[in-house]
Amino acid sequence: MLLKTISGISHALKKKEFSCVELTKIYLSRIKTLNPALNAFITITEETALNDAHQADQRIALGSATPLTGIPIAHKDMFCTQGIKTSCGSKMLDNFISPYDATVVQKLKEAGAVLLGKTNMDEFSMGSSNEHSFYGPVRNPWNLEAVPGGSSGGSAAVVAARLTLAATGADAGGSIRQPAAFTNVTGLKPTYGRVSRYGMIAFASSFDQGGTLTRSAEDAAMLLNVIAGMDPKDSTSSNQPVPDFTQTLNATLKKVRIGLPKEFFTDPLDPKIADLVLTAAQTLEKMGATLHDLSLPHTPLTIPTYHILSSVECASNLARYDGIRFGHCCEHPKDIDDWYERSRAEGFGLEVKHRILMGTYLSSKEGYEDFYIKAQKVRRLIANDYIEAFKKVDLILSPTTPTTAFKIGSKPNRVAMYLSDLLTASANLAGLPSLSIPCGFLDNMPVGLLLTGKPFDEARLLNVAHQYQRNADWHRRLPKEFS
Amino acid sequence: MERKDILKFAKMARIRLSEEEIDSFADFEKMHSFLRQLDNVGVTGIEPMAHPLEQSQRLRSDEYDPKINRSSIQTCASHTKDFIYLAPENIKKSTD
Amino acid sequence: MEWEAVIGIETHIQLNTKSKLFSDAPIHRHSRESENPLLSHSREGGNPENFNLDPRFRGDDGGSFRGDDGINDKASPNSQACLYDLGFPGTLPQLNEAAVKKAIRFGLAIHADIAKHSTFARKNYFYPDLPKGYQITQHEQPLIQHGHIDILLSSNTTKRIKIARAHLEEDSGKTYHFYTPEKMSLDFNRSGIPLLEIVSEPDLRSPEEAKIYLKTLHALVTKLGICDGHLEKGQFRADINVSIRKKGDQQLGIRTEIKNLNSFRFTAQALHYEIERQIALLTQGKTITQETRLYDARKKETRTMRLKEEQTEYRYFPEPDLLPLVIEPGWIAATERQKIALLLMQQNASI
Repeated sequence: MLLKTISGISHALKKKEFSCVELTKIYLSRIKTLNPALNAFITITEETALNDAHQADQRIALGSATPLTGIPIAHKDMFCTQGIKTSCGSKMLDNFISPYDATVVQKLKEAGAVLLGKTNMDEFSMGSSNEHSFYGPVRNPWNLEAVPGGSSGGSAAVVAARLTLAATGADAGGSIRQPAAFTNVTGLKPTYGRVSRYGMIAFASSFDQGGTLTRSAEDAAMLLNVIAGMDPKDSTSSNQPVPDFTQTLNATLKKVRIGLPKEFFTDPLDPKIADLVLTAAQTLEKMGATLHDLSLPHTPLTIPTYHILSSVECASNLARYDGIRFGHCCEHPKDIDDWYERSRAEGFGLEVKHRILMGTYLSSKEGYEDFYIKAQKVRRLIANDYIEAFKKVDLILSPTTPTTAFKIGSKPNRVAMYLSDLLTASANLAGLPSLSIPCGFLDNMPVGLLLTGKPFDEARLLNVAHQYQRNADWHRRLPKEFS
Repeated sequence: MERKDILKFAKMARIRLSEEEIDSFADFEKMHSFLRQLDNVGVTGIEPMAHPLEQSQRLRSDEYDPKINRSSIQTCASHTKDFIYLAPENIKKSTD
Repeated sequence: MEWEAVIGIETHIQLNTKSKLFSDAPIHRHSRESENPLLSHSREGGNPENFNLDPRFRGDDGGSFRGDDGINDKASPNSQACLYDLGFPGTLPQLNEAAVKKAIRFGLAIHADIAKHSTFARKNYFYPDLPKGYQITQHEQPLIQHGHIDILLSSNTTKRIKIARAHLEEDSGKTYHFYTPEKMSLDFNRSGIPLLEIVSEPDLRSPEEAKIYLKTLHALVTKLGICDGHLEKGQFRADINVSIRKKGDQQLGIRTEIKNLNSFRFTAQALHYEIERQIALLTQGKTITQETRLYDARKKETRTMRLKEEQTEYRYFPEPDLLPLVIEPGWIAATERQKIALLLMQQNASI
C-alpha cells in the first residue's frame, strides 16, 4: 500500500479493497511510530483525520467521490486551517488557532482529502534547511543527520518517509523544490498566480506560491487540478483557464525542445550531480526530446536580487505581529513600545529577526534606491533572460540544488545557506512554473532534476516529468528505515 | 554597518535585540557586500519589475458580508474586554 | 511689514461605499447608539453585547466617551471588522469597484487627469490602530492628478485652487483611552473604510479662503454622492499645511502642519492662531520649527504633536498584494460625464 500513488489508492478505495478509515489508521500509526525520529509534524490531527476519513467513506458509498476523496494529506503549517493550530513554525503563532481556512485547504477539504496533520517548516518560511523552526529541526529520512531542506522540509520528509500520500508546500525561492530534491520527492511550484495565496501566511508576497510535494508527477497533476484556479480573495491569482493536468501526462516528447542553461552547470555545482542530471536529460532525448545549449546570463545575480526584494516584503508582512489581535505578547509591558519590542523579540527567532532588519534597512532611505529599486530592475533582466530562452526552447532543465542534503548545523554562515537556493530562486523572480523530480543518488543521498517552464505551462512540465518517471524508478525508492 | 545602525533599524522594526543577537549581526557586513554584487550591473533603461504577474487589478463589487463572528475572532487575542481589544497606553503619542 | 500666509490642505473624505476598500466588511452608517459600550448610555435588556458601564470612562466633557479623534462611533466595537481589517495572517486585499468609481467621479468633477495606470503602495509604520503595520495607499502613481476647484471669495471674485492629486487609501482603526485603567482600547470598525485623500496645491492665502475652499469641497463631494459629509462623524477631515512669508517673496517659509480638523469653524480658528503664532516668532527674530501640531478647540490654540525629526520614515514600496489599477478608456461612460456636468452646473448656481 505504501508504494501506491494517489491514483492507485483512489482506485482501491473505490473498489473497496480497504476503507478510508482503515487507510487513515495505517498512516496515523506510521506517524506515531516514525515521526519522532523526523520531527516533521508540528500538529497531528488524528481526530480530524478520522472524521474526514469517515465522511470520505460515506461519500464513496454514495458515489459522489472525487479522485482525491479519502486521500491522506498533510499541510505545511503556513496554510491556515480553521480550528487547528497554524504556527508557521514560529513561537509568535504557537497559540494561533486559525479562525478560517486557506483557499487551498478549503479546496482539498471539498475534494474529500483527509488531513493527517500540519508539517514543520522554517519559521515564517525563512530558511533552506528547516533548522530555523521554533519546533526544532526536521531530519532527512535518507540520513537522520542531514537536513531535509527548507522551508517546506516537514512536508518533504513526510512524503519521502511515506507518512502521508502527499503534502502541500509553498515556495518563494526554492522552498518546495530544494527539499523535494533533498528527500527524493516530486515537488511542484506552479506559476505565480496559478494557486491562490489566500490563507497562506505570507513571507514574500510577490514570490510565494503554493504547491505540492508528492510521490510522482501524476500525483502532482491530480492535486494541482484541485488547488489551481482564480480566487477572488487573492487579487494576484491569475485569470488563466485551468486545464485538466492529467489529460496531457502521456503526450509524446517528440520535438519537445529542452534547454540546458550553461550557468546552471558550473561552480559551485557538484560535478557528479551534473553527470546524473545530464544522464536524465539523455533519457528524455531518447524519448524524442531535443536538447539545446542556452544561456541565462544574469543567473549569478539571482540570490542577491532575491534576498533584497524578499527581505523588504517580509519585513513589511511581519509588521502585523504586534501581539494585540493574535499571536504572542510579552508580560508586564511598561508602555506600547515596550510591548511591541519585547513581544516581537520573544516571538521571532534569530533568522526572522535578521531578515526583518535587513528588509527594514533595504527599504529605508539608506537602502531603497541603491538596493531595492536596483534589485527590481535586475529582476526584470532575469525575467527577460527567460523570455528570450523560451523563444528557442519549450522548457529548461537543470539540477535543482548545487549539492545533496547537507548535515544539520554544517552551514558556516548566512550567505552559504542562502546559496542553497541558487538554482531555484530565479523561477520565483520570473514567476515561472518549476518542478523538481528525483533523478538518482550520490553517496546514498537523493539528487533532484529541475524542469522550469513557460508561464502557466505546468502541463508541459508534468508531462515531461511523468514520461521520465515511466522510464526511471528513482521516485519509487524508499529510505531504508521508512520502507 | 555599525552597532548604532543595527540598533536604529531594530528600533524601526520594533524588535529589541539582546547583546548576543547584536553580535550575531557581525555577518551583516558579509551579507551587505554579497548584496553589493548588483552595484556593477548595467540597468539603464530597464523598468523596475514590481510583480511577476502581468495582469491588472481585479475589482470586487461593492457588496458586504454581515457575518462577522467577533467571539470566534477574538479568541485569538490575549487581552480583550467587551469586544474591545486592549493594549498598553502609549506614553508618547504619535501617529497619523 | 506685511505678511502673507501660504496654505495647502490635505482632505481625507470617507467614500460612502457599502463595504470597505479592500474587504467585504460592512460599513453601517445608521447603527444604534446602544450597541457601543464605549458610549456612556448603558441600557437594560437581554442583549449580551450591552454592558453596564463604569462611570470612569465617561468622557471628560461629562457626556459621552470619545475616541482620539473626538468622535463617537455608534456601532458596537469590532462588529464591522473582518479578518482582513484586523490584519489576520494570510488575508489579502480585494479592491472595491465602487470606491474606484467614486474616486473617478471626483476626478472628472475637478477636471483632473484620471490615470490609466495607477498603483498601490505600502506606507509602513507601527501604531496599535494600524492592524497590518502598514497602510495601503497610493504613492508614486495616484489615480487622480492635476485638477482644480474654483472657489467664490467674499469679494465675489472666483479663485482657482489647483488640486495636485487625489488618491485612494484605507482608514485606520481607532484608539480610545480611559475605558480601562492604563490600557488603550482599540476598535477596528473604521479600519479599512475607503478614504480619498485630496491634496491641494498651496494656493490658499488666508483662513477665510481655506474655510471657503473646504466648504466648496464639502458641497462638491456630497453633491457628487461620493461622501456623506458628516463632519461630526469624521467623514470629512482636513490636515492643513501653513507657512508665512513677506508679501511679494517667492520662496516659501518653513511650514507647520495642523492635523485632523473636522470643523470649518475650527479650521479657520486654528489657522488664525497658527498664523499669528508664526508671525510673532518671526517678528521676534525667532525661527519656525517644522512640526506637526494639533488644535485644541477649547483653549483655541495649536500645540506641538511631534517634531519633524520624530517623524516616522514610512519606507514606501509597491504593494505586492495588489496589481496595477488599469482604467480602460471605455470605462468612464459618457453618461457619467454628463451627470457630473449637470451636478456641477447646479453646484455653481448654488454658490
